Amino acid sequence: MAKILIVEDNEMNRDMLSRRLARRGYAVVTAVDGEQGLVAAETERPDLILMDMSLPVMDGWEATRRLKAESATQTIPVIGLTAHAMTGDRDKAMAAGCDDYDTKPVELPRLLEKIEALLGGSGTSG
Amino acid sequence: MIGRRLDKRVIEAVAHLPFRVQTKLLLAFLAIVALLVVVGAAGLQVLTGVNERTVELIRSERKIAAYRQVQHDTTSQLYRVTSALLANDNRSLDSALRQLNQFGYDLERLQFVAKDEGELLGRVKQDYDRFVAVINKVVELIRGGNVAEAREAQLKEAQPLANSMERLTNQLVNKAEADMVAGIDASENAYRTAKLDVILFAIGSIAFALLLGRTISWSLVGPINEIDARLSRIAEGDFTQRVAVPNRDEFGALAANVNRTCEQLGALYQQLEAASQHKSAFLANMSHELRTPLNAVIGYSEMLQEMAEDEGLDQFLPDLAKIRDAGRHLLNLINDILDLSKIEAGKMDLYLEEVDLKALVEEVRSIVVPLAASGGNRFDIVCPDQLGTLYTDRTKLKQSLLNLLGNASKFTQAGRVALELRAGDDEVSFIVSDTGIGMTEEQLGRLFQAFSQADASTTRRYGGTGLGLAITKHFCEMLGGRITVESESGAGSTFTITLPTESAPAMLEAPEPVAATPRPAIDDHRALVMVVDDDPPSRELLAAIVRREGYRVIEASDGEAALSLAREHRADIITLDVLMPRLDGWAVLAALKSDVGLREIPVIIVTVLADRGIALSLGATEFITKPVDRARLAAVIRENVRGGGTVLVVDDDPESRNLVRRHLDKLGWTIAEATDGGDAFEWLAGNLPPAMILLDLMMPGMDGFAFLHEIGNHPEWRDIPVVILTAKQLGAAERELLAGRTREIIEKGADDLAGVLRRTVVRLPRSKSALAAG
Repeated sequence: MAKILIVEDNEMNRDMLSRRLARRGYAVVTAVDGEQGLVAAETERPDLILMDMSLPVMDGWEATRRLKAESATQTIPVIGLTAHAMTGDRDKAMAAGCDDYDTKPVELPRLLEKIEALLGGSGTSG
Repeated sequence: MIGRRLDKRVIEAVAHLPFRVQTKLLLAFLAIVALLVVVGAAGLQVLTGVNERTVELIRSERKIAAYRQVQHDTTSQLYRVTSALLANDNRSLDSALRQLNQFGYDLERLQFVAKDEGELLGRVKQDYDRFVAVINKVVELIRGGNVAEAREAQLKEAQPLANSMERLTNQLVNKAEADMVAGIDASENAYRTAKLDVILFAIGSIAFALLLGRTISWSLVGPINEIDARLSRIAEGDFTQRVAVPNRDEFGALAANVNRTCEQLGALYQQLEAASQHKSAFLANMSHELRTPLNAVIGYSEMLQEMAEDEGLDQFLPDLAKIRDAGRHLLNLINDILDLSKIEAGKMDLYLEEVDLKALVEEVRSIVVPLAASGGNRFDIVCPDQLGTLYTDRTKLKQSLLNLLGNASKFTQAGRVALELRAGDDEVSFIVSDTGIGMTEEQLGRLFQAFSQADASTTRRYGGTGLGLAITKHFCEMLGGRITVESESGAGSTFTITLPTESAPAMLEAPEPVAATPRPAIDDHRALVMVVDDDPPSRELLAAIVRREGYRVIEASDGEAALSLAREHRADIITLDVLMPRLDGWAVLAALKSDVGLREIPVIIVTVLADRGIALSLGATEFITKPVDRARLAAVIRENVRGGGTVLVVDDDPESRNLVRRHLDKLGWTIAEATDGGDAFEWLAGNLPPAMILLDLMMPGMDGFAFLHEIGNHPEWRDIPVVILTAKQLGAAERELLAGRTREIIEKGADDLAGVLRRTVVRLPRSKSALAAG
């Protein structure tokens, strides 16, 4: 069972996303800001991270940069989530090191496809 | 040079005269008329002189004739008298005496002619009188019979007198003739001098008249040109300068009016611009705030739908679907509004890349097929087999096409929706047609306006935000293309987007609003890096590296664009490729270094060449070979982005101040220090506003909180970004208190103080002067 870390500051979004993913059979852990996200990534060793980009304390871009700079966490795929589908956000997320990118509100089937694609690839321990 | 300056002075002096324009013109006209009169008078005087001399000469001629007559008469009188005396008959004697008398009268009359010769003539007369006396005596003697004695008297007394008379009359003639020759010479000289005088005077007058005309005209044309130039600048949106016109006439008044209008327009423009920016910022924030709860609405309704399906609660499904659809619709609206506000604020960026048309069409097909099918429509794609690429913004093109195709599907029932591509030499057309309800002329007229669906009732029947076409039109224009529409009510519509195969980089500036100068983004003061490279992949890579380091990036795809963008945007640092078409990197480097306004910008040469020596000797700051080592490029940029000003460090602890100074020194910032709030205000009062205030909270005297409160009362300083640097453990209430007034809170003893400071100052305005100029 793949473990997904959701880093999201909005409580409802966090709750909703985690419940919907849990219904699909994923193990879900959550963090509420970038710093906590980093800690959770270290301790929980998730198979994939859903990272909101606008986060308090440390934003998603910075958190992703740090994840990708750290040898222990750099293989964990990160899907960046931003609130709006402007190209700039996508580029920024990819430049920060995200492996993929999606917009909020998530369209679950599409997001699931992206998750599956990243988990199905190499670098996940299952 | 001096002449020109004098000329300018004179023109200004004339302009400065406090008369109305017609008065000046009248004065100039009168001056010229006066000159004409004077020239005429001078000519007349010369003519009069010439006439007088001519009269004089005629008189002289007559005089000479008279003298000659006298000379002749003298000789003949003497001869006649001598003959009569010899003949010795009474009749002859009488006749001779009569003639002699007559001659005397003639001599008398000559007095009126002679002037200069009066004395000579007097002597002639004297001799004549004596001669007459002698002759009378001789005649008496002859009549008395004393012929011998008469002969004696004649020979001894009359003959010398006759000789003397002849000599004198000769002299008389000679003198008159000599006078006349002198008179002719004098007259000729006088005429020559007078002619020269008149000519010189006429030339002088003409020159003066021309100069006067020129001065007057320029004193009038100059301000017109000035005002015209200013009006052109105003039309271009530059309200900064004023017309400087020395005139104190109607033009002075006009210039003053133009200045006043310009000022008012400028103020109005600033207000409008500020209002527009506030509106955009408000919309952007609002959109974000609205989306967050919407996410929850949509997400939870979807989840409930899934759960209802799982548990067989089918009666809830339609209502849940309505909640979700309404949520999605609202979301689309918000997204469109945000797009539009970004476009209007000039903040919509373009991301130009090679777009594979075939792939794009396929992507569009997969999205549109279900849309079209839902209205019972057929969706056809007509495009040539060979489709190349388009250098454009992929997302915006796709969004535009989807907007049009979505509309076509929405407004067509059981018909046909088609997308056709036509590739021309340097442009590509995307033709979206449908067989739907079409539009009337009037509806077409307001088609591309925001919030204007063809009919208000359309929104209710067909949904949609009414913003799609307005956005599509903006996108097409940003990409250097255009959109046109043909439609007939009831017979369907055809929209055509035509884009250039290569959206020019200049288009990047297109969405900028009328403002001639780029304005600093409200909260984006990060250092600006300009990446110059003609090869798109390579340029994008560099830009990505730079963005990742937290800088703003502008891209230029050739040398000329680089120079104009550098001037316009005042990049903080430039990475420059060498091998480029037209203007190569060396030329750009040389041009940058010879421009006073640009030469301070550090330039990093990034090239496959190995000409480090050339690069550095031309003034490049660093030299990096391709392929680029990310870390090295980042380090070089970091080292060379200049801090652009002063950071005021307010801290009572000298150790802390030193630490900050060391870190910021390296980044090129100037540090000013103050030991408490009061000290800081003293510094502020005596210096230009700093780029940032780094504020400790716990200080003796005025502490950080008091300082923040106080600075809020000073409009001139309250916009200075304040960053708190504190060792104090802050409670939630304190954090909240500080949050509204400070940019960031840094804790003393942070692991990576240098890094935190660097990231903070990177976002600062480069310098006050750069901002003010921008």
